[in-house]
Amino acid sequence: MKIFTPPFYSRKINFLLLGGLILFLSCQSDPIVYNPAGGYEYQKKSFQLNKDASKTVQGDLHTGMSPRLYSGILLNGDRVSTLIRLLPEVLDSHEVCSADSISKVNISLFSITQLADEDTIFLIQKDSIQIQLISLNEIWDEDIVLDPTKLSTITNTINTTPTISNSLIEIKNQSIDVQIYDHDSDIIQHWCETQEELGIVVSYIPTDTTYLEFYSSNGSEVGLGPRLSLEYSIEEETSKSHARYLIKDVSWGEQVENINGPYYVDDSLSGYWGTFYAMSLDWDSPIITNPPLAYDSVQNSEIVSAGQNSPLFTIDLELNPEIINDIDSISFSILNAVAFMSESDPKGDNFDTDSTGTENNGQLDWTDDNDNGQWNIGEGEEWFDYGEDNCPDIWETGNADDPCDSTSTLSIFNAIGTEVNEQLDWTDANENKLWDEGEGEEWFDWGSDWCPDSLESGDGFCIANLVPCNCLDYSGEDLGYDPNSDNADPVGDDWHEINNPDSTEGNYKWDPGEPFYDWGLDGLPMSIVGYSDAFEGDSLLHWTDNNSNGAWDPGEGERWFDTGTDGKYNEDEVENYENYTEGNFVFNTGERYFDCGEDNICNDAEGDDETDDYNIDPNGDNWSAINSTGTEVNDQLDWTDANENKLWDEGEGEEWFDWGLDGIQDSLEAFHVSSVIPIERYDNSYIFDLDEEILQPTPDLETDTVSLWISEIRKVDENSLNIEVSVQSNKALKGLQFQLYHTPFTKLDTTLETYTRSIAQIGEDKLFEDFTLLPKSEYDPLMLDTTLQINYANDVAAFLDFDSLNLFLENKEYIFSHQYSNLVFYIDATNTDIHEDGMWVYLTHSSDLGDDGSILGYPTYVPSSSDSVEISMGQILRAYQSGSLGSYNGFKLKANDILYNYSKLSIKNNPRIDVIFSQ
Amino acid sequence: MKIYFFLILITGIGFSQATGLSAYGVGEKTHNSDPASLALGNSSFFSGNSKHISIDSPSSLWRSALTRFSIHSGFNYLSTAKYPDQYQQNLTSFSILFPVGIKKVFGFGLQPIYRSNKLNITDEDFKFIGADESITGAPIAYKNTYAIDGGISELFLLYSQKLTHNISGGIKYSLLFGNQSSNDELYTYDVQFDTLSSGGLLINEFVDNEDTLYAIANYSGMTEINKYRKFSGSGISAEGRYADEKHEFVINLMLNGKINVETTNQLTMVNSYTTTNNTFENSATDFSSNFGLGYRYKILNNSGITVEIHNKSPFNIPENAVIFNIMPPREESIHFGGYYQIRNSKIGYWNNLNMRGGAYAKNLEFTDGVFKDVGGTIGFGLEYLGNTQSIDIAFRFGRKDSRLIIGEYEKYISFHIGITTGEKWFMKRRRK
Repeated sequence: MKIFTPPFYSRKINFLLLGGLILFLSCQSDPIVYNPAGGYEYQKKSFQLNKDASKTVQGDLHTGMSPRLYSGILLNGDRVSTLIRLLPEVLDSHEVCSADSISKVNISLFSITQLADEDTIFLIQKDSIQIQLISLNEIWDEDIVLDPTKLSTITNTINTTPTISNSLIEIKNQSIDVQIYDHDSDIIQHWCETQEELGIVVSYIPTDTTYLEFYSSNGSEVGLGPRLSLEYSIEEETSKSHARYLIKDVSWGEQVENINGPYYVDDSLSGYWGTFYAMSLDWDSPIITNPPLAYDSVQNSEIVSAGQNSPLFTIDLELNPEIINDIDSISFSILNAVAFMSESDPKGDNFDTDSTGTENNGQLDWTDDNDNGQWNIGEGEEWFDYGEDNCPDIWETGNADDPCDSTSTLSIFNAIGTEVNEQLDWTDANENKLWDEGEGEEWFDWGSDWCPDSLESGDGFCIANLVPCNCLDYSGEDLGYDPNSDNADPVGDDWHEINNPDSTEGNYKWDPGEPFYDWGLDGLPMSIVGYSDAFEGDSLLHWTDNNSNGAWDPGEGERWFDTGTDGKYNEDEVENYENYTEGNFVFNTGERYFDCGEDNICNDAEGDDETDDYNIDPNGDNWSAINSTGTEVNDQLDWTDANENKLWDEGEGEEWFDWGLDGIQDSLEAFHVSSVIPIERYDNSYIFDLDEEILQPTPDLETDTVSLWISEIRKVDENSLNIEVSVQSNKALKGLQFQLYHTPFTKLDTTLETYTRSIAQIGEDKLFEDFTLLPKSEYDPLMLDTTLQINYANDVAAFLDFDSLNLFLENKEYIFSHQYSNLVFYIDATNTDIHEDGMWVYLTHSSDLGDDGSILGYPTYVPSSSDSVEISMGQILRAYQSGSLGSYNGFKLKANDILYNYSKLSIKNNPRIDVIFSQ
Repeated sequence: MKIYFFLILITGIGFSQATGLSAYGVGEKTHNSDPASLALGNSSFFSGNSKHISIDSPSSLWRSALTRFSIHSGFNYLSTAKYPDQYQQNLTSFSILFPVGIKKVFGFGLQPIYRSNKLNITDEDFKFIGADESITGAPIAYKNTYAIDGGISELFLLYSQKLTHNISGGIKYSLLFGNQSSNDELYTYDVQFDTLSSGGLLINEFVDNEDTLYAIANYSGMTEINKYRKFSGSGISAEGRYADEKHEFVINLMLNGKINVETTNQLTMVNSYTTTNNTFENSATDFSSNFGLGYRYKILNNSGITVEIHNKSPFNIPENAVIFNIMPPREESIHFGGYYQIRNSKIGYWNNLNMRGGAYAKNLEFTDGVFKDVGGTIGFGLEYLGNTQSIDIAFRFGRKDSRLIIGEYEKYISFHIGITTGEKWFMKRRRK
């Protein structure tokens, strides 16, 4: 408490001090919203190319490391082939080299483009493919630079080596498979034993300038490159399970007479094998071929009576001859055993035995729980809202004499028909926004009056409608332009080269009267920047059509609008322009079309496809707001009990089943999971010694259940057994079923195991090296010095140096705009040849020593139609400025290998770097 | 006494260090912090207390043989027509002085000398790059926000000694250090003109050719610029003082060495999540110096008047380190003050009640013009416990031309408090 001693005696003083502190802390300064002088101001600076230092440079690389391979005739006419070399030293470690037999050795090449449609319709000239298996005299690494001398050696070999038969070449959707083994059955020995250096040469010699383009083994995914597909066999010891017996037959015991059956599942591969059905079916064969049994064909016979204890049936088994000498016993058991009671109403829901029962009560017991108007599972008795014809639409024939065909053969239901489907079925194949022959249903861009200008009456009607024939070629009085005022060009000032050459809207040139922003070259009005620049407000248009396209584009000066001399675009020329739809190249609601289907031939006209009629209700009985008398899908049962038997009968309307709320008829109720009786099986382990033939003792049976047991196993002869299965039941049964199970025999066998493998690499080692056989073009030094070119295949890059950029980058305070700092260059179209898929270019760093350093930024895509390219430079310049890239010594502009390798880009001699920066 | 130190420290540390609108140089010069001197027309050399010791004047410090602890703090309220409420907390400064001989005192302390404090500014209007300057061929708009904080402090060593009966002197060596950071955001937009106002930010609505047009700014990117500047340097000042019965003269010369600045610019492109750092170092090219003269006329034993003039050359920092590219100004000032001491003739708890007042005028000469700062001061101090302890309070009020908002005035009122305590720890006593 010493701190509360003098000079301030009172606690009040201390309170004031602390209060003052809190007061100070609560002070908040007003935010300052103000443009301070000296804040960041962006400036633009352009760096022009140093033409003396900039040039084309050619490196030492070739196409061996490209992810693409070529075969055929390139865009520039060069002929190329693909060479693939399997590396024997890599394959040597694969088990195929020690295989006991070989049945397939294929080499697959995967194409970048589609080669065939559905593997049958070829998109290439199949017969122009030649493939050879050649012996390589010289081994190349993939970084080799191929020159004519090197290629001449292999060309000689190719010319003297026979081609692989076309029958051994399979062209698939996007790959080519070469069956090497069928061409040379010793191919694996060549590779694995003698380590021969062999190559596959794929040549494509089409009649046009086309080529095949494959994935090479150098892509980011080796698996996309060439693959070796193998099928071979190796002897191996394996454990195999063998069934100890086969089921030969099954027959009823003596107590069961004059009843069909019993039945069993004979398919040893099925999980139901050994399942026996002790019930009567209307089938002759005892074998169930398609388990499980559906029970709907079970006859209502009593197989076992109440209190019965007797053998039920005998099963004849044949011992498996493959292992008969290896086994001395069989261990049986009974699985999945259930019994089915023999009662007339197992679930007790019949109306005649219980007045609250719903089965056979003569009325539909259905509760629409989900309020969808239709029967759903769990909603009681099933019924079908098919209408009084009791026929679903898809079976309806539209023929009153034979209205329903459950095979659909006679049905005329067609939900995908396009004729009379009340919608326009038109595909603008040539994208001219108008209907043309072969584009489906014809429509008329005449506006909602269905009338071309020439027939418009001037009061909204069409003159053609006023004449008796209602024909459209009526020649009436010429009322001038757009009498009904519905044209998309309301005043008719849209320019058209032929039809309206003197009009001014959209004529690709500025005409007096057309509005423009008289804001000067900065494109900014004085009202927002506070000052006016040169030419602003001088009432003259200052526009330079730099790209000669006849329209204003950014950077071309004052913006103008090609509205025509009226100063208004079409939509501004009238009120309610949405009603002006004639000639707008759009099908608008209300415009006329022929709903004749995609063939554009209406019914009854010659050539009409009669199957194209849209028809989703052939019998016309579907309920709808228009057809309220329809009975199909009207959400109610339409049944008339004509014979008053309280059951649905044929011809009484919509069918329904009086099966009670459980939805199960009496004959099947015994088989429902809630009604089946579990069977007592006691010890359920029956081990039969094949040598001693010991009889199984009978279990102590319980009398108040259904019991099933194997009462006897008897060896008939050395190869077969009989098994007697007995039953005792406290209830009458219409059948029972069980599965006879046994422990299979496991045997160690030496078998020939067959393997199918498709490999592109083994471990980390790729299996193939591949090359495109085309010599590298060496560029003329003079051309290198005087042009700026980029070409991946010949490792040609443009070295670009910009005046004073190095000095600019030394200022560490400059802040470069990322999105507004670009390298800009224009393409020399004369010497440029870019594939239609385009190409990717990227910049690399040039170190002090002049060699290439790291890649700068991200690659830039250059479409084939480009006339200029912009590469974002903000991030790159900042990296130089910070020193993280070293010092600036110029850039190299290169093409990468992602797309067509032989694209060639030539740059006009005026690249520049535009930088927007602040400090 | 500890409680007062504690309270003042808390207020100094707890406050956001918001300055007014001193967005130039490395901030506003806050060299004077002793409320006793401030109350004398923002004086540096005189204090109007019983010993006439001013913490900011090395040649006056020998006058007490006590070990003196001083701590100062202040609060500033500033108002302009546009931004009426701006608050500023002056940093707390402290010093320790102790005798090293007869009439010889050595001391050290810490105090701020330049502060921008926390200054948040948002551009009010868009700025533009015209289509003819834009690399896209279309106009670009941009708008920035600025957040500036920090400044330079000094750690000083003092020595003061009485040389003769009338003459004394003092020197002060300062290590200058500190950090200043700015966190700025540059937003760029593509400008679009349309007859409909939809999407983007509305820049302006105007009528052109009888059509109502809307200038819309569509966001295109944001660059975040974090600048960290680390200052280091030193300065030395020498001061002489002549005093007789009625008159006292002071002369002070200060020399600042070259200030070194290490700058780290961190740029983050928010759209592309890329960040780059530039770190570089540079120094001022020149030295800077301050010169001051002071005079006190003692009217009576307990009253007097003072006058001072100061000429301070622009603070010598590199151009890249200044706020908004505005170099620090040359300062010329004149200060008038007067004091009156009520002495307690009785033996009691308190000894002196010092009444002070004054006025000053200052010219801040920037490269692009002179900005005036005039004001008055009033204050009082209480000395107690045998004049060993004191509490001083000063109010300063004035008006100055705003450097940030050209053409406007900044009216300010500041409150300063200082506490000094003297202990006889190192005093040599005669053995009895």
